[in-house]
Amino acid sequence: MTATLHFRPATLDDRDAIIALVTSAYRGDASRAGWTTEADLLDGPRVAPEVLEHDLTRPRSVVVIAERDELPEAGAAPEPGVLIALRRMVACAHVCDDAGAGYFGMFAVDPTRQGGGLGDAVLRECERIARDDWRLPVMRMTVIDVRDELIAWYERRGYRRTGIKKPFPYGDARFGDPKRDDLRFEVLEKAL
Amino acid sequence: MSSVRTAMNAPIGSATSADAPIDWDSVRAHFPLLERTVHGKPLVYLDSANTGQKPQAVIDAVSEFSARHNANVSRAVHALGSEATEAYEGARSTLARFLNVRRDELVLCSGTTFALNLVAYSWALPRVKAGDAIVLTRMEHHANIVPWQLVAERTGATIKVAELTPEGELDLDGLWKLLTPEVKLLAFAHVSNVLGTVNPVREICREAAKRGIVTVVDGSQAVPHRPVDIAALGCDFYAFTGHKMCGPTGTGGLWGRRELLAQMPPFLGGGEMIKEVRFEGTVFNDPPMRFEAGTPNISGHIGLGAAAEWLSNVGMATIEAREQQLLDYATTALTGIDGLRIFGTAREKAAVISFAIDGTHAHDLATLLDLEGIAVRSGQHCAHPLLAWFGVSATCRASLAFYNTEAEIDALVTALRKVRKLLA
Repeated sequence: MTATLHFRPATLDDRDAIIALVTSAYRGDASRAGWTTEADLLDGPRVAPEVLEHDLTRPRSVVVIAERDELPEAGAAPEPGVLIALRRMVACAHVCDDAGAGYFGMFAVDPTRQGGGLGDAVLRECERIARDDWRLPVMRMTVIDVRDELIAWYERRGYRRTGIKKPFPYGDARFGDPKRDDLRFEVLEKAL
Repeated sequence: MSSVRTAMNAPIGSATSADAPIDWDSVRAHFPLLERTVHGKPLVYLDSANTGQKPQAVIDAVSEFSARHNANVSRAVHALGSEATEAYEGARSTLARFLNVRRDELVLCSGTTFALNLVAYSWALPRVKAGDAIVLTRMEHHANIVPWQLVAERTGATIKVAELTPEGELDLDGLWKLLTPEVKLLAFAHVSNVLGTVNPVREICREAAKRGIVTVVDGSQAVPHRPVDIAALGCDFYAFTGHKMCGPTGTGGLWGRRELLAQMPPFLGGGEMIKEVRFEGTVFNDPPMRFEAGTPNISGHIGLGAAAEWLSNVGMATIEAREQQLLDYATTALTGIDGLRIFGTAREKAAVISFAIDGTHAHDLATLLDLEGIAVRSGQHCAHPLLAWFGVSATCRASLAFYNTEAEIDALVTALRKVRKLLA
């Protein structure tokens, strides 16, 4: 993980690439390459295009894209012997001001690049935006409460379980097709 | 060449350790001009937003270069030519570190006005089309208005203006509404030269970037007074002026995102900015040299490098904190004068106080203050649209720097009370 990460706010032009990245991190067999997979819990889309478009354009809401300059695979150079680093989207997350509190979501790290600290860096950048730029006192998120490993990851970064549960939106296709009928969210929170 | 840079590695103003409180009198002692008198009175220099005074280290760096190392840069192979090039490029590196940017993205030029015109002519003019829009703000200096008007005139684009709150802050909700799909560029001040308002640059640049709008930040009043980490701001271009940050006049720079600089044609043609010249055609140099035609202000930029080094040794966060103390002190003191109105009361504000006193004209005030040895600026501060919005024809502006003192602010207040009686 030596290459520098570059953060930038996503534009509408990034919409399809974001959807592809988020889907690859959570859904289907591609996601099984990483540990964030929800393939056993849910099918179908992880992010609805119309919701994403709204998140991309409204004020005090930003989808942070993390990019890294990477060399192409050997043999994939445009000309033999010429190596040009390509800037590649490796992670993203959404952060917004939700009625005076930071809200963190749509967090995805390319499943083939997980476990190297990229997620940490993206989370810190989103916390910095909420704390320093928007002066928000707290960051919140909702996670599926059976995902103990994921919740433990957030707890190691200062988040605490609030005990506040929210129902899973069964029947709303924008949130995917659940494979279980006992899914629900829990709110995690961290003072900034 | 370290002798040219007159490096001062010891913290300036700190007696024994980095934790000790700064001795601001000893910092002030680095500025020989501040010891002079004007009209028989001790000089009280409150016009640092106009131009800053120079510490001895900067004066020495410039004169040392002229006395011992003077030669043209990047051309001659002789020893003096190498020394000059090394010192000039060393200054670029120092400035790049000071602003946290890459040195090959830093164009050295005569100051913010040149820098903004460079973006206007080389980036905007070839790209902006009829029907496009450029967004500016009500608080801009003319240098960040007129170049864009010239671009708009030649391309058929329109200018849209973001308005202010009564406190002199940007109306951000209003600004977001202006950022429509036809907007190609947003240019705005980091810190207002009239109001002192510090704009939330990161947030503004983020909202612009979300919409694919290129951002140009006028950092003239920010770089001399607060830590500026350009890489963290998220802007596309950042312009600054050397003479306001303890450097010589005719110096400054433009930072631009590498991929944008690489797309830009040269602004001026001449030596230094080319790789190969034939009468059939010329191959331009890479940035930043592409934009530095002709012999640059070599000694000036060596002086500016020395200024950045000197300011770093004092510490920009320390300077910002000291100027906030002075601003608070001055605001409280001036508020006690009957009939005095301060323009600009932003929550985040730099040490600039524009004011008017009922029944007096700003020029009369400034003239009478000058007789007391006090230098303030009066007039419209190169910001006609802003003054018109406040409904005044002119204001006085006391702009502070870390080398000012509470005693000088007391002198201003005493003189203002005296002048007010005289003009009443």
